[in-house]
Amino acid sequence: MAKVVIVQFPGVNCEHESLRIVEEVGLDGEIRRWNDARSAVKDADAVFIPGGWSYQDRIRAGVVAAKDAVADEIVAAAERGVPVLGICNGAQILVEMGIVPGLTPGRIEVALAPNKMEGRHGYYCNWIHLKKGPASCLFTEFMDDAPIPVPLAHAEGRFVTSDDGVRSRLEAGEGVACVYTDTGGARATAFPENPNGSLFGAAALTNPKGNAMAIMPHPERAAWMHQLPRAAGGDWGRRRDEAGTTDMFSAGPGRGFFTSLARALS
Amino acid sequence: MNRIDVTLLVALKGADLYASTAALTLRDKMGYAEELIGLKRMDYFRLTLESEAPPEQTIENLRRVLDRQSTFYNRNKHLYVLEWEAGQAGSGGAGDTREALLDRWHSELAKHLQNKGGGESGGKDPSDRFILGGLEGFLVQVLIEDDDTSTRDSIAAKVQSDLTAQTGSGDVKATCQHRGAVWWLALFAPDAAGAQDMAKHITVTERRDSGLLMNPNYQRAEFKPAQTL
Repeated sequence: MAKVVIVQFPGVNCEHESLRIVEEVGLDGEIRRWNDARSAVKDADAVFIPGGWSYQDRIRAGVVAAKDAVADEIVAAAERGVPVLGICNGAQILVEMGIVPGLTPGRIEVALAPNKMEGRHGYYCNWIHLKKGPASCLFTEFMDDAPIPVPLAHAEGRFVTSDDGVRSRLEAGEGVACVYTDTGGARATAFPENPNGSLFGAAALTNPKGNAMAIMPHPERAAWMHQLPRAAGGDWGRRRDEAGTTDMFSAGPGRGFFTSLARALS
Repeated sequence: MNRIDVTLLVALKGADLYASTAALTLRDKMGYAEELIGLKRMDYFRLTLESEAPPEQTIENLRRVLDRQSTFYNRNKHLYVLEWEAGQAGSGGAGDTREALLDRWHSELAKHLQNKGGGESGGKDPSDRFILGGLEGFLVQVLIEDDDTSTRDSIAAKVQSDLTAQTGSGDVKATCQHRGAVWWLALFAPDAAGAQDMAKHITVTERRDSGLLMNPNYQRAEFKPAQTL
């Protein structure tokens, strides 16, 4: 069975639900602490960095974890083509490691900057809609183009770059694995559908090989039907209504990222 | 109208865990164990106030407002430096001075080096300078700001409404020109140019293995020339 190593940096707090969905899709998951993960990452079939507040987000979200020794192994794994997934704080760590968008290897080409929201500042927590983007990515390969509701919870989720070349390539769709949308699937341009002011409505970025993905929303929190609120809206809102209380443990809208991973590893 | 430019620096009185984490990361993970003597972080605000009242009166009102609220600092846990300039109408300060903060920090750094057993004369030589293995101690000040200016607008609106409430008149106009973090980096380097270069390498995150304090994709940094510590 393929082994997924879930790297728990100090302050990460989503490791158990991450393990739960990994096991649900038929993979072997293992949680390893950051200072005891190097050899496990070296031998892993996939690497998963969950959400939380690594190092309490001191200095800048994700940056201190990106300087840890285990980061060398995670970068090397991504370069070898091993699937690497970072969710929320995990996404911030992958960005600070320079793994995504990875257009020029080793460079930090983007940031996950503080949210820009109409009439408010700081942390934002809500259900939003997203769909797969134009870039080819292992984690979205077996998903269709329909928008799905997924929760998010962050203060720094705005993909942004100061490099005009990177900006042009992102605008052309390169590296954009998921985009925020309205319930009908149109790409979001403003708050609240684009919940943080992210460049081109990007919700997730991938690297050129498509084997690493940094995603700000939390698909592991929408992997079962019972996690979905009835007010989610769109097609999934209707499906949640129809499920009532009898079909609570069927697959939720976020499951597709993990079934894609399982199929890639099978 | 009198135009007054106000600079406010706010530092923690006790341990600053952000600064400690930055120091540990630089020393233990990024290879600056010998070069980094210490670092200090402060919040930085630059405000412009316009009022019919004399500058001293406006500053006194501002100081009262700031002391009573926790918008910028809490007197129980923060030190602050408030400096103001009003052209020919005068200038002045309140709270601590930069020099007092620097002196205090200088002593802390010397003590740190003595405890560590570093420095050829216990951290400081008789001429009161930091010397180690032919390297000299330098201070580089760095201001880091985000690209999002909306929080500055909220700060200005709050200061303006508080000052208006304090004075009972509506003649005060406040704008926030800058809001960011100031880092003081104390570094051993062969010379001032070397210290300046090292400060840039420490600050700007261009690659995973270089730079910690700012991501140039949404932040900007301003470096003051290195000076002897």
